[in-house]
Amino acid sequence: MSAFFERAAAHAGLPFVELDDVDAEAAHELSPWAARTLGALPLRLEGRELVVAFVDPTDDVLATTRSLVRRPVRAMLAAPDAMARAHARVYGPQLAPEPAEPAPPRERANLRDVARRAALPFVELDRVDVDAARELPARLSRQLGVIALERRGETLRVATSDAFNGVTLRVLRIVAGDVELVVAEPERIDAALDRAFGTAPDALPAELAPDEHTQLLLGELLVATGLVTRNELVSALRVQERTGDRLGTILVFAGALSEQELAGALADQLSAPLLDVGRYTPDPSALALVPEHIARRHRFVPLAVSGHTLYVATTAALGTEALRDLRRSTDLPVRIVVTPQRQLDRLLQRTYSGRYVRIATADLLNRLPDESAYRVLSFAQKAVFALIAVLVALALVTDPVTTLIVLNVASILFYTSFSLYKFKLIYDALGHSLELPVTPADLAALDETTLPVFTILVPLYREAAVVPRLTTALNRLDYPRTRLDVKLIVEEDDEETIEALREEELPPHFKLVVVPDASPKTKPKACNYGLIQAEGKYVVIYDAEDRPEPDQLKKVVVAYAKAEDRIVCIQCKLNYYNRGQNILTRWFTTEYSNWFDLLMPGLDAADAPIPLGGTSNHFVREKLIEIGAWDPFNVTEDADLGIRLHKAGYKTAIIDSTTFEEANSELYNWIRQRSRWVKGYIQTWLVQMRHPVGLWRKLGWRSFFSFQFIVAGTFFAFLLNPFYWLLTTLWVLTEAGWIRQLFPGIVYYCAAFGLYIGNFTFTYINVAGAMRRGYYDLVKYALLSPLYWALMSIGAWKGLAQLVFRPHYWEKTEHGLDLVPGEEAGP
Amino acid sequence: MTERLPAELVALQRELEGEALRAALAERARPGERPEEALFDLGLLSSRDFALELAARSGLPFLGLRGFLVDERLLLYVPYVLALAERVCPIVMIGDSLKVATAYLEPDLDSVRTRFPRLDIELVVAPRDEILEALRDAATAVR
Repeated sequence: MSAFFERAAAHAGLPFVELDDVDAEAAHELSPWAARTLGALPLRLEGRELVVAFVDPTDDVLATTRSLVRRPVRAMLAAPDAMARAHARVYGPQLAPEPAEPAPPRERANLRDVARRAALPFVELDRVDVDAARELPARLSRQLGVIALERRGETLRVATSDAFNGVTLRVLRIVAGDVELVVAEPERIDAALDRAFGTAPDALPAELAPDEHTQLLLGELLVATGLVTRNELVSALRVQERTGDRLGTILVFAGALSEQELAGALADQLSAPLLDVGRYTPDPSALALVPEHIARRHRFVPLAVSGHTLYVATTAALGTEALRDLRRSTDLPVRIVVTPQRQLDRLLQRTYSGRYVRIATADLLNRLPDESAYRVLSFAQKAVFALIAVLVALALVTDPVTTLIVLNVASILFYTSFSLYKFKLIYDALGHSLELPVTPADLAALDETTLPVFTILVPLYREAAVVPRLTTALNRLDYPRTRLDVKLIVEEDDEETIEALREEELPPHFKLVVVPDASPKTKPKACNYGLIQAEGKYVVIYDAEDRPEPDQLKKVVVAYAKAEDRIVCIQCKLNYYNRGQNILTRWFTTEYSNWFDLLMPGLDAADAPIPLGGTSNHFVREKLIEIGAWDPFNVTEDADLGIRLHKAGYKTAIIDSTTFEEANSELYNWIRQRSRWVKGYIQTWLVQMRHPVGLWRKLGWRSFFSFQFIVAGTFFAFLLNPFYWLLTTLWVLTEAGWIRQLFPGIVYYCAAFGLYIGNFTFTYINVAGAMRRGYYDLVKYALLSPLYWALMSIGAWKGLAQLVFRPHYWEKTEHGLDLVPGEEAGP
Repeated sequence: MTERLPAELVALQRELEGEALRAALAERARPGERPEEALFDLGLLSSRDFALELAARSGLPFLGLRGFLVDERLLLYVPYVLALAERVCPIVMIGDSLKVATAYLEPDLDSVRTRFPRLDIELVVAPRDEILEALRDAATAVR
């Protein structure tokens, strides 16, 4: 006791005194009555000054004392119990006040007295009317510590031990209408509840059973405090029954409650402080205690260490796993500080952004350097390519015609094989439905309570104009909002898009993720950054202008339930909603139709590696992270990932669900996009061919050749086409002899076969793609495909040149070019 | 009016019509009284809502005080009358820091600071009604 007052004396800048030594003569400078009333005891005279001990030397007390003793007073501080004993010793016991007793805890207070003060009847609860008790739900009764005793017309008579608790009364009035309170001992109420409802189950450790208890109480608290109405609570409980989501989350998503209000209610419920962490900088010593991956996994931020306690910011109570992981990191007791979800997300990003960027940029490079396109060519590749170049140059010098014939034959053979392989894949796909089947009955049978959290990554860069369309498209998805984790990933320097997103007043499941400005500034790096913070079991990428079919996510969930374990990616089909905009978009649509509707299912059926499409590929998050996610240095990270995934022993499946995108309608924009794709395909081929023998072993010979035809064949054909077109044109115009020399005998017939087969195949697959999609109006444009190939070759050569000079540069495709003022395009 | 903004915002969020708000304030607000007090007393604004809003805006921690028992020794630092007048409640002493719950952002605790110059005062926000209830309980316990 005295330690407290000793410290108080220090705070007041006064000496503390124990009162063991009191000058009785000085003590009588004050009358016993005055000394007791003022809480004072004169100790001694020092010259004219009287040294007086006080228990509470307020200005009024000091002034009164001075006026009574008529001399200067020097104050000291003493503990009240010591003062009481000293008063008794100096002035006599009969006049001394009783030493102060510590206040009895409320639950031990005399409840009869409480009842009297509250003008309420006191009852013993010897008998319990079970029917009456059940007028209130058992859990509610136990949580409030009340029991219903009797129904008298509209009024329910309820016993409580806490007659002054306004919240209890308000909750009871909401639940039961008119309520009349009586007071009873808490132990007797508990016993009566046991008699009425059976013995309460043994209390579980708090962290093992937080949800059931907290949710019930939370709902009642929210109603009691007026944050939600009874009707809103009932509606939310119905939704909860259907979806199994947390009550608070449902109410926030329904707009009945703000995140701030929910955080406040949870803070109150958990007896934890509510903190606006918006401007809070976590203490480095606290951050050092807990590894980042634990904080990320359990969504909390260590804030501070104070008084040998670690404070962590979180949105709700920490679960068992979080506590166990924390225990592995620190022995300090942990206290939580509650903060709204959005603020916690921002704090996580602010605190760990540096680390996130390092992971997003260098994780694959550090873990699997040979899989990264950070280096364009390995040393061995440089040596081999240099050797080939020297040999070809020497051969050209010594025997140019034979050398060119050999190169010509090699090209023709590759070209023809590649064409036949593609034709076979397309032909197989035409006759069958090779997608993983998902039927309407499957979707109807889906139990919403089992739907996992789905993360949608949407990388955006300088795309403020398409933000409203994006949010509209994502809002059309038929998936519980509470299970969606939409990450809108924006680069830090793109202030326009950040501003547009902030103005959009995004719903709670949309989260803005700002990627710190760092090289390389590529879509895969942004996706990796978003993936680090992803919460979903599955992760999908959509581009800003994408319009996925509304049931796509549910179809993916069903597909995964049906799929074999090694399927860790489900690719949905891509197509265009503005196909009729101009001839370029029509060609582009026929190309996509054959690629996604025929070629990919064909590759899937052949168990060959699939170069994934840029969006709408739905991954199992854990597996995606396991294989190193996207390569931030590869500009077709999607194609590269598809190959790596296959190499790791996993598989991609295709389902019949389409995401509609915006076809590039502007020529130069299209060429830039195509140049990036070709550059990326070359990057992917070079990366995977660093160890060709290893690749052969991992893929098997079929998949190895499929990889060569689909990845290398694609860019090889685009790059080679202009030479053959030039040769053909020159031959028609000049019939030059040197051209004839390059196609001797059988070579000529092989070349002619390749020409016819190649042209037929590529025209045929475009026509087939358009037919398969039902775009019969595009068939005539598919017949004009050779013109489209010329554009592809321009893009391919641009891409190759860029690979040499700017290997990691991301040619950004401009979106929103389909927008005509006042017109809303649609699939 | 700047320091009154949070209460009015909360009130407006609750769709309290401006006219009703003005009428209520005119009827109940006494000279020198904070308008929030009138809003609380009229049941137009929950002191808990207000405290939550205030905590969030100020960055101060929020503390619910339902069932809280005041350590009456701390009334040495914050006398009971001052606590009632300023709508504050001493919570706990940790080292040289006294945590004080307050219903408003800038309680006048100068007299405490003058008397205890070596004391740090740490404010947390709590609902006015819960502060008053805790103080009432403390008074009952002392009696």
